Amino acid sequence: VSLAATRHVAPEEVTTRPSFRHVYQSNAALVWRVLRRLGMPPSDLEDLCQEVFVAVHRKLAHFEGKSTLRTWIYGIAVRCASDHRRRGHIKHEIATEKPVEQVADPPQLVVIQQREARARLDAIIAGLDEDKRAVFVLYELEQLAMKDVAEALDCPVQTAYSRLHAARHQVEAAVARLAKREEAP
Amino acid sequence: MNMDPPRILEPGSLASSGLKELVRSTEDDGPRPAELSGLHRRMEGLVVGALSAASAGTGLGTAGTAGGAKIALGAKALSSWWAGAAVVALSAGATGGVTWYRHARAPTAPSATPRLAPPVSLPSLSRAAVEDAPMAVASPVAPRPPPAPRVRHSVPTEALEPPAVPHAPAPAPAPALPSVSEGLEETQALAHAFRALQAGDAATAVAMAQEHERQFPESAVLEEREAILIEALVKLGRRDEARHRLEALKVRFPRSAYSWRLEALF
Repeated sequence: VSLAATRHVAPEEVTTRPSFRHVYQSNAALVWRVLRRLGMPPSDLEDLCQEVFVAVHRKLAHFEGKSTLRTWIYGIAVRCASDHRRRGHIKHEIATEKPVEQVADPPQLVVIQQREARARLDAIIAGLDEDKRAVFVLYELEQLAMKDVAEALDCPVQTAYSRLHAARHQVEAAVARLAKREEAP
Repeated sequence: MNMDPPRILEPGSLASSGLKELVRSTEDDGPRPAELSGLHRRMEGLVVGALSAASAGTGLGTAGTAGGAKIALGAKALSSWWAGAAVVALSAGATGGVTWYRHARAPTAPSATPRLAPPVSLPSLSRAAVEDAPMAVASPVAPRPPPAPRVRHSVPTEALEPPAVPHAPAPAPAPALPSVSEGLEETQALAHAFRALQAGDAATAVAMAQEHERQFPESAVLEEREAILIEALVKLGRRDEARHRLEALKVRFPRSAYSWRLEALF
């Protein structure tokens, strides 16, 4: 069973209700990844993934297939992250835990630059407000179609577009600020 | 017709090169198998419950998996899948060290049938996440309970039914995580040390890495820092010092991805 995360989310029209085992198996990595991308601290990811799948388990019997299964799960994950943040568990944190797996003899520069870039992006995404963050992560990183982003977030598509536009603007401004700060002596 | 704008890394994107570089850092950022092994153990109860229901003919809806033999096979495969990361780590070590795991939270001894923890309650926040999900649900909406202490636990099937079980609060203090600025500073400082090493300035690289060590003794990039330091020390002819550090690195990170290459420096 491959749990390899895929960047491109294949459209998945669910017409029959899958088993929980299948749902969990197919989406565990996806849920982990999107929670991480939404800025959840690495130390909380296991707890939060569990929350999402407990939620999925409870609701699966009532899943009506109005959206794709993945879109539905994304919605639960975003809501779970939002609740977690609201409860005050998230301050200004970034993931700096080391990966548990390493390819032998990785080029140090790549590893370091990758972590540096990721830390920057995490910091920038953390600076977005919740609505913009969710749209940015689901559209730009998870690569959902806009209509699916809107479904997952339970908002009109036009609202999702507006949030994406605003998020991009804010993210670009933050990137420019970082670059300027680095150029300064 | 799809009117979605091009994504940041797609052709036609107007995003800056700086932003594109940052977004590229998220490629392949999914969890490693070892990172999921703890979650698999926690979810065992639910998954096994689902399998039991399926074998009783009550709900295995996925195509191509009907029939007792296939279900049993699926259960077995899943079970070994849970055993997961530690097994993979061991076999990887035996096949030339292509894949390494470290800092695994899960116990390293693989078990084909991990034991469940005693039944515990589910956190109320799970329900909050569920009840608010944007989906038509037949079940009545319960009032959202107050935030509950976070508990690490596995999820036995019986914990879900009946849904309302008493809480077993066991609050664990959240580990202190570095702030955003600290994390950035930490990685940037080490990047400077590495660039100095790449530029042939081993002395500066050593100085910067040692300063990094002073500022961030338990850094998230500690292993990379040691690798830079050891290589720079070797280049400066300080081989004893480098050797001492390499031995310490191997003790602390027995499966360090760097030790092979660093050994070759001597």
